[in-house]
Amino acid sequence: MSSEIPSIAEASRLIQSKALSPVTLAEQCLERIRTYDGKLNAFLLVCEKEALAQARQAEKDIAAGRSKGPLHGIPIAHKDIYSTKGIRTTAHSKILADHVPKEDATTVRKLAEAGTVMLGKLATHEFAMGGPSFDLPWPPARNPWNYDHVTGGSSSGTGAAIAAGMTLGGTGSDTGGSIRNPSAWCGVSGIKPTYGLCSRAGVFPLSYSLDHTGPMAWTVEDCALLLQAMAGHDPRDPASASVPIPDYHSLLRTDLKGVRVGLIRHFHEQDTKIDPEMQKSLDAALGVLRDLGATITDVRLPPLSQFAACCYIILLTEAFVVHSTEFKARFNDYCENFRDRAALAALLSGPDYLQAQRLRRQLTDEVRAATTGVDVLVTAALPGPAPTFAASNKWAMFKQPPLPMPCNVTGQPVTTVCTGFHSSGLPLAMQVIGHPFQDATTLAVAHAYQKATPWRAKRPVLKAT
Amino acid sequence: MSDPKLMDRAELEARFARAGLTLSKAQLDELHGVSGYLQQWVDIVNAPREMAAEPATIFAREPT
Repeated sequence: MSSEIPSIAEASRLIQSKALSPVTLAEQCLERIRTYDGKLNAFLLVCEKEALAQARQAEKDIAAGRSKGPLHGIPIAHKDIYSTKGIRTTAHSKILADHVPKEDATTVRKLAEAGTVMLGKLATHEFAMGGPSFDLPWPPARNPWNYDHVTGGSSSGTGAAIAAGMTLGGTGSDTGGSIRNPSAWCGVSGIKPTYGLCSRAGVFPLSYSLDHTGPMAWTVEDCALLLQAMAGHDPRDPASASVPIPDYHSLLRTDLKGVRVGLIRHFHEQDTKIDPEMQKSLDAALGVLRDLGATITDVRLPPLSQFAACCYIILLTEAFVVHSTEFKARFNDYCENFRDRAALAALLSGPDYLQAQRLRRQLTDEVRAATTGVDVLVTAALPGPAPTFAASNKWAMFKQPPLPMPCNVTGQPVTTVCTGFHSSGLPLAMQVIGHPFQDATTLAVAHAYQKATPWRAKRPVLKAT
Repeated sequence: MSDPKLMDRAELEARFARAGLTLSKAQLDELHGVSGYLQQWVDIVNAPREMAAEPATIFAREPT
């Protein structure tokens, strides 16, 4: 695997045909972690002994004809806000530095039941918002495409580890873009599913009504396989939706004949500024979608600034509530990025929060009304490539309304897919947005685009530790 | 967004105190410096709307 890192789908086919041993695959991932993670900092904890035991069991079960399906024997890792029974789960924070959960998060359990091999726990921005930060017990993950650049967050370790081939897939969470940002900037694929599709139970909350859990992987096809295991109703999550779960993999397609794509042009041409190379990359991606058979029309939604105002007020208020007790006792034990951002909620009022929730319903209704004539929406994932750590600023996120936030407000599913590379060598990406619970459609469109473009052939060149 | 208007400093300090946060002068200075972003968001969410417009406290699969 040193030169050719398989996707989950490729590894699965090899494992099921007994051409690849899950033990060999796990050992290769662990070797890459040992070789490269000293500089990348994607892992907070490597569970080598447990991973090899799980891989050996998978090999034994598959040999005995007891295959659990396409994820059996596949190495993955979890963002460190996902509770793992008996395994330290820190949220990348001093506050939870010694925390060992007694139960798995529902999605962790479901992925284990699907036969995955758990390599370890991945870096995050502290409590999924405070990063990238150097004032925490562990350093921030670095971007495998250029170590001086950030990964995007908050699922920073997941993005870095997948791009570097240290794991084949992983979990992320997304409250204002935290699956999509590192997917975009690390050049991997990720889906923020519809709100309520994947359980949040056992995942440390950032914002109760905006948090989404979901998978990240090298390809969209792999995301479909992981989502299959993660999705489904969970009585432990009060926001969990009881909806039929389709076969995501079987609904992937390679042509887009008849698909109606809505381009939210004003998001990136008027509401925020994007890099000219991102614009060019997006234009080229639209050309590919058109060549695959899709029709493209402009769609006008409310301004990005309205989504940002709504999202930030809800997010900061709910995050403040989650941490209010610890804030009073241990405010300075949090990293500066997290505590200073979340503290701003103290300046908001109850009526401000409720007005944001009223605006949220209004925006959701307006988006629904404006998008009845299209199957998916497309916009840039982020304004440009990942910035350097040196250029990263605690308050930069407030200066321009973020492109990912609208779908946290509306709960719509979004798949992020690489659209090529900036002249700096860093990845660029677009978002493919679906109607609520039409997660399969966003995956299908993103997959068709990915199969028609060459971007999956390129991996970052890594530096050994 | 346009240049944000900062919150009144005394009111800002009172709100942090009411929330139980003990902040240094440097922390207060920095948070005061970015308080204008909040004010912009508050202005947006408080735009007039019909009295019957309800909050989105839950996500509905289909319009009701």
